[in-house]
Amino acid sequence: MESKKYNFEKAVAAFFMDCSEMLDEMEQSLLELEKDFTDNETINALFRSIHTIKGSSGMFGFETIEKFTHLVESLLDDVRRGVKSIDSDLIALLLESHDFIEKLVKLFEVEKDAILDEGMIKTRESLIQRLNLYIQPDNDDKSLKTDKASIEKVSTDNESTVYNECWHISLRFGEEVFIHRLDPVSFIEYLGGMGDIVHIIMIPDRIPPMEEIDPEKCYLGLEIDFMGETDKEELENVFDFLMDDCSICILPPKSKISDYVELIQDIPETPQRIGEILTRIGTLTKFELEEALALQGEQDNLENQDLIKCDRKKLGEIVVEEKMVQEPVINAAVEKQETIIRNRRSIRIDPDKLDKLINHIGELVIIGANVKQFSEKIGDMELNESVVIMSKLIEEVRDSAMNIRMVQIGELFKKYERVVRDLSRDRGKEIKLNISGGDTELDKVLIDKLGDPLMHLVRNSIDHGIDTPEERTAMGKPSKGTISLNAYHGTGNITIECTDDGNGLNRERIYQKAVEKKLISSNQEISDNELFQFIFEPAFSTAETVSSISGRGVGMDVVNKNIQSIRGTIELESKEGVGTSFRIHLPLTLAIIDGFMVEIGGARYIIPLDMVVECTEVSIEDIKGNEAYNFIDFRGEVLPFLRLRDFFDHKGEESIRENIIIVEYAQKKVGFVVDKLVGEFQTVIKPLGKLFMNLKWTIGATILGSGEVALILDVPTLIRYIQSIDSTRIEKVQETVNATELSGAE
Amino acid sequence: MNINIIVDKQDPDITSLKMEGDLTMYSVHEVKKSFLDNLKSSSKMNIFLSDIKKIDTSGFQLLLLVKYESKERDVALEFIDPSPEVKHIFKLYGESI
Repeated sequence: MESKKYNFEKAVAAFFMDCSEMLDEMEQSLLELEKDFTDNETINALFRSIHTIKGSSGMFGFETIEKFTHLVESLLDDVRRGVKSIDSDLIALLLESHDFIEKLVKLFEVEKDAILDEGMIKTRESLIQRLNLYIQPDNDDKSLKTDKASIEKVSTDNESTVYNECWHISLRFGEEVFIHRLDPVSFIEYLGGMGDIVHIIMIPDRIPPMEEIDPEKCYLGLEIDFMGETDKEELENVFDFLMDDCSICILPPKSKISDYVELIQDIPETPQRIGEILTRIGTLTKFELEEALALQGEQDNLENQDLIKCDRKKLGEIVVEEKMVQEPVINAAVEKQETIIRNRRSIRIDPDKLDKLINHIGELVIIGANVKQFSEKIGDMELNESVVIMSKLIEEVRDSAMNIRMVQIGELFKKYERVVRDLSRDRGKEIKLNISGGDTELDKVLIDKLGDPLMHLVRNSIDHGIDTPEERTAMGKPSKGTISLNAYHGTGNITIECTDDGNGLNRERIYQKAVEKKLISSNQEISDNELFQFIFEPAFSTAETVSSISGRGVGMDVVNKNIQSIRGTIELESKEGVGTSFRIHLPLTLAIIDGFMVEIGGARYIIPLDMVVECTEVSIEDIKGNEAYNFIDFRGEVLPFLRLRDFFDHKGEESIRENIIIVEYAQKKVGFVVDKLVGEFQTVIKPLGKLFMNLKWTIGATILGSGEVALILDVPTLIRYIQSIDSTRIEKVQETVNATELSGAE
Repeated sequence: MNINIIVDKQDPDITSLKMEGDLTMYSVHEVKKSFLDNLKSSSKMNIFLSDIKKIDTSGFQLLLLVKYESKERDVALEFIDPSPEVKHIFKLYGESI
């Protein structure tokens, strides 16, 4: 009993996860459709997503969700069948409905028996009203009521049931059945084993002529009358594997005639044709068929075609209710969700399990290094060979394990389409969102944490960056503004850009503000870029200045903090009248990285290999003269460097020749001067204990094969530090270098 | 290929197709081509099914189609001596050969 409950809860959790995925898909489809109203594939995708939400919410007993989605579904069904066409108003309405469903789902996720508050009920009423307008455009309220009454009448009158004692199973195989290596033969044979197939009729109507047929596709359908001690659940299970490739309709014995009406309507063949089939197979007597067809005709004749759908809706509900009564349906729902997951070719894993795996692999890497060291000591050729192969394998295992956590950033980018669409409409602006580099992969944790800051940047661009079409045209720009989101890999980092072609920052105002805040003195010369960085200062923009500097900078310090919390950096470039570009750099560092080991005064340090550009030997003389500046002339390039021996205050014996390692992060290069280069090393990053929390220059430590500990250098922070020492010095040195070059050239 | 089709045209109008092997998903393309070519060029077709070792629903579908198509094209078609496997699938789907 307990385990059942547990199962159910798991299923509900999966349901909510599924729902949010489906809602995302729905939103995506709607935004796609907005670009092209006639894209059938997207319409189908849209229908599928809402259909899934409806179906599963019904199964889990979330009636409120089910009822509302049902309405949306029937509207979309009309669209899908070409009865209604899509326009932008409809999309707007559907987007609103999407938001409402999302709200509902969230509400019930928190509390299963939640009750809608007044506001939500109001929203629902107005949405239902508007949806109904689409479904029944020709009816005013009055006729709507009478229609409803007549439906009820129809369904109560319709008590007469069919005489037949058999189950009726309708199968229409999807074209892909054969390609998926499923042969209907096995299912029919299995069904035959469960009871008695009284009648079976092949429906070949969909087979195209010989000239056109693709014989690898399935065009067949079957109508089966089946007698056996079974229930619907069991019968559905028989065709479980076919579920995705086949439309299946199962009617229990002695079903209502109205159910057969529904069957007749649902089946692609014409009513007459299917009616014939049903009588031939013996499901219906001729009289019953006539009654069914008459009933259907009656509905058809009512000019309002939607009535049939309303009736069908009712029948659909009956089916769902009927399903709900059957207890094993919960399990079926779980299975169904599993098939959905299977279809997307992905599985859900508890992140804890992944962390555990990665931890284990971390240990494996360490012990692997240990083994390697010992084998080298022993010097046995064969052992060494095996160890080398093992190390390589460990590396591969490590890479693929780390890869599991990687998610394409495109998913995140797509979410902003809706924001851009809604906000730009709201503000009377025309804005296009360009997405590139969506396939760049990032750790899932980072993606989750990027959501808010990026949203902020996008909203800022819409709100303050891009002007109204009129203003833009007046400035000689295309009336439609553009916001671009871009992601790409750099050396040791991933860069995410958010660029708009709007107004740019107002230098004057920021300057004044900076002076006001005493960040600079009133006559200080400062470059645009340096000045603009001030908008990331906490409380740089207060409410009153927001309006005066056109709002730019609202909450930018929060964005900055968020980015810093994932050890990233943010910078911006802006040109008045041309646009603004934000660049977020994130380190690629994960739990296990390829490191480069160096030695300083006998201690070992690791530098993330991704960030290492090159290393070369330097003599102390080369550095000595420039020590005060901390710059060297590196093949004509001014390169700031840091002598780590001095920086970390190592006392050990100095070597005559030292090495410089050039590292690059976020397009900035610096050199680290170290004693000795050791080489590549697989590094498991272990966080340092609380005691060392304040160590700024490391991102953790790693354990070497020998059991020693090596610190891992935090390159981005070090680079920032070096740059902050005095950025004006760079310019000075650059000038001297240029001058010497010039004089050399002369 | 796991099917062998022997075409025998004693009379220019009469085609005999002797099929040996598996009439399944993996061979339906080839069989379809042969059916189509011969439907066009014959007024009578005899299809020998005695050596079909294996048949699946895609093969069945094709046989069903050639039956319908021959009627439309006015070709006299006969399935001759179907193997037990062929008989079984026709019976399963409630069709007569």
